Amino acid sequence: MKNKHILSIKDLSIKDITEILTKAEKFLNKRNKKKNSFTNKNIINLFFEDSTRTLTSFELAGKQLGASVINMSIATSSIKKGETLIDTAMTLNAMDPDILIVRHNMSGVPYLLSEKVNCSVINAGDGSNEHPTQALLDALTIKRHKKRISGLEVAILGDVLHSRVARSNIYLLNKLGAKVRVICPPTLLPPNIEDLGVKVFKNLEDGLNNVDIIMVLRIQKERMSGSFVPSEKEFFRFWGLDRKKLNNAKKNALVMHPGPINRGIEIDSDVADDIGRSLILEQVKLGVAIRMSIIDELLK
Amino acid sequence: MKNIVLKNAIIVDPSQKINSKGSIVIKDKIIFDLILNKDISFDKNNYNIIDCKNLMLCPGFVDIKCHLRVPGEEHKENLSYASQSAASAGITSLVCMPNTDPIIDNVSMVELVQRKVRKESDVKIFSTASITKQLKGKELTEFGLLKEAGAVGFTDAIKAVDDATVMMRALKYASAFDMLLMQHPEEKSLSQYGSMNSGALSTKLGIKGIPEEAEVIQVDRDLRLAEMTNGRIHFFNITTSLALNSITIAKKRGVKVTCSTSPHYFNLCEEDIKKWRTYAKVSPPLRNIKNMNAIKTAILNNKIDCITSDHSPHDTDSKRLPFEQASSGVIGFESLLPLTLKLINDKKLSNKKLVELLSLHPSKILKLNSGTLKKRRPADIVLIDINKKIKLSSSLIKSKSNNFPYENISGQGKIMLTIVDGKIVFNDRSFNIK
Repeated sequence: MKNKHILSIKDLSIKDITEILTKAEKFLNKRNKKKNSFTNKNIINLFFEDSTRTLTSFELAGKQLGASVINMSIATSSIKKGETLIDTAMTLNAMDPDILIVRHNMSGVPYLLSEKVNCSVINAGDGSNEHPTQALLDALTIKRHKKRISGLEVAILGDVLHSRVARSNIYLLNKLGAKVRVICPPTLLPPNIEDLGVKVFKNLEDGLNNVDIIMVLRIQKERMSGSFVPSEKEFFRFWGLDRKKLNNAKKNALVMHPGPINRGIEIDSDVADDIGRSLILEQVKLGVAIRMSIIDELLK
Repeated sequence: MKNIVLKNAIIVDPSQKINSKGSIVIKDKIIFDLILNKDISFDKNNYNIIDCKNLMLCPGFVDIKCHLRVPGEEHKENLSYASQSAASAGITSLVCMPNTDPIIDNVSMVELVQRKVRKESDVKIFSTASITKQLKGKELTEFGLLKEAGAVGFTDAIKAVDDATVMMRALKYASAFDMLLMQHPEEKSLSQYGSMNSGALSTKLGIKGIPEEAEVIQVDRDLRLAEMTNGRIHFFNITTSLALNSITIAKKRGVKVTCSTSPHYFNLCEEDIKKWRTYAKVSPPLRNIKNMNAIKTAILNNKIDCITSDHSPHDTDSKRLPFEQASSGVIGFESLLPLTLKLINDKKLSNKKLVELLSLHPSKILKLNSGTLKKRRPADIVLIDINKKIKLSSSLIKSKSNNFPYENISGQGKIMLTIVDGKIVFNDRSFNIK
């Protein structure tokens, strides 16, 4: 891989993606053996937004590879004292880290930082733009369960408007030859999303027809009190994935969710906890392997 | 109950392009047969035969904007009074507004209205629900669940949703359920303190006015939003040629828009306020003669899709107040046909036009199962003495309220018989039916 940073799926070639996925599977097989190849490397997790699984996943991945991982807590950082984003980045850069892993609630922040620092930058989620490592781990999950990605019908369901996971997945799945559709209330549909190469469905039952994979997105509660959607109850009734609606998809369709899930809102517990259909915990597991693979590529 | 045969009538049904003599057989709530241009004899023992010689028979009227005041203001109107009043006016389907107390903005309120309708009303009453919770113009109501509960459309009734983002999202969201949004055409900040048309007369009377522009500004904004979202919108109570021009141009561009007006806007004008007569206070306000004539022309030129009664009952105490404090609105069921027919006749238009305006188009706009005499469809029928000249009088009113501005105004057309789901709900007593 030639890339210095992992900022967007758009920057990755199909070859890059294949390499990342293949290497991740290798890491998956020998997870227990700690490699000490990167003992002299430093990784800083710079998370401006709350996160459990992504932060932990990156931390574990870095440590499994023997690198030193520092988690910057924004709550106690100089940002709180009024330091600008760029100044914080420059300060950290002066300490000469090898990788900066950035999450921010504003789209484009990882790009901005990557132009200012000397080290590699990994985008761990920026605003409503992208979450490339999530898409990569989703692709690996699909590949391991369906043996292929090309030709699959994948539905992305829920709050597409605000979702960086949706965007990264649309780019990635399209690159790998899947057919992507989005299903959401019209108020949560980004304008002209068809231009990204997806089909649009407003109705869940219609949208699930002939689908192999359903990626359910998280919807934030504050968006369901009348602004975008009238109520949680109505969202669940029309766009929440339950057993009955799932029956509209292919018989062996599998369900994914980037987490954390809102039970009884975007997904029914009955479906979320069905080990025959739900890949939710598998996604978390593969997340560590994908991040090891990416860190390994960048540190090599 | 025996089957009914309405024989020898002049049948007008634009949905099937029918305008000829014929008979209709009603059986089990539906139109069982429609026989044109033939005289068939029916066995008196099996049928109630009604001879409709010289009378016009058409689908029952569909009134998509009325205030029934239920729940909460039953001193102004209730479903039983409203039903009798509507039946006597040939109206077989009513669509009521959600600005009640409590507001119809949730599933249980829609269900409450329907339960009351089943008990108290002979005519069909459909409920709308509000676009925004508590009519506050901020948060959307549960369009999907409300539609499942029976709401036929969404509107914030006598006020427009003034926040453009909220309206845009409402239009988008309604499209998921193929539901219509209906908007009151008044821009709030321009209209909120006025109570009559803005002009020389409002100056003379010392009353704050509402400019015509308040209407067109609201309409223009919503037309743009409807176009942007590909949503469906209907404007109630269009009163100005400015707004009509905008709507007509938008229709040509392909915007999914329809509009309606009410008899007061083409029978009355601001001059009818005379000396602060609150019975002529309506919302939007009565405009000048030029606009009144523009509305008439627009009806005749198909620029206005349908006519609603805008039935707005108020008790005497709500009207016997200083003009600016008095409630807006007039009752409208009994005057709907006579005033509309008068216009149609004055302009020498066909009765087909009348039925389109009062029955077919309003049905289509809200996708109701009415407005037609097609076989197997509900037998919602009205029989009219079309040539009868009448004088409107509050003594004929069956509504619970009496805020009636048309005393001694002449009209045309008398309802002889009204049938809802095959049941006679109004009979002016000239027919002896067992």
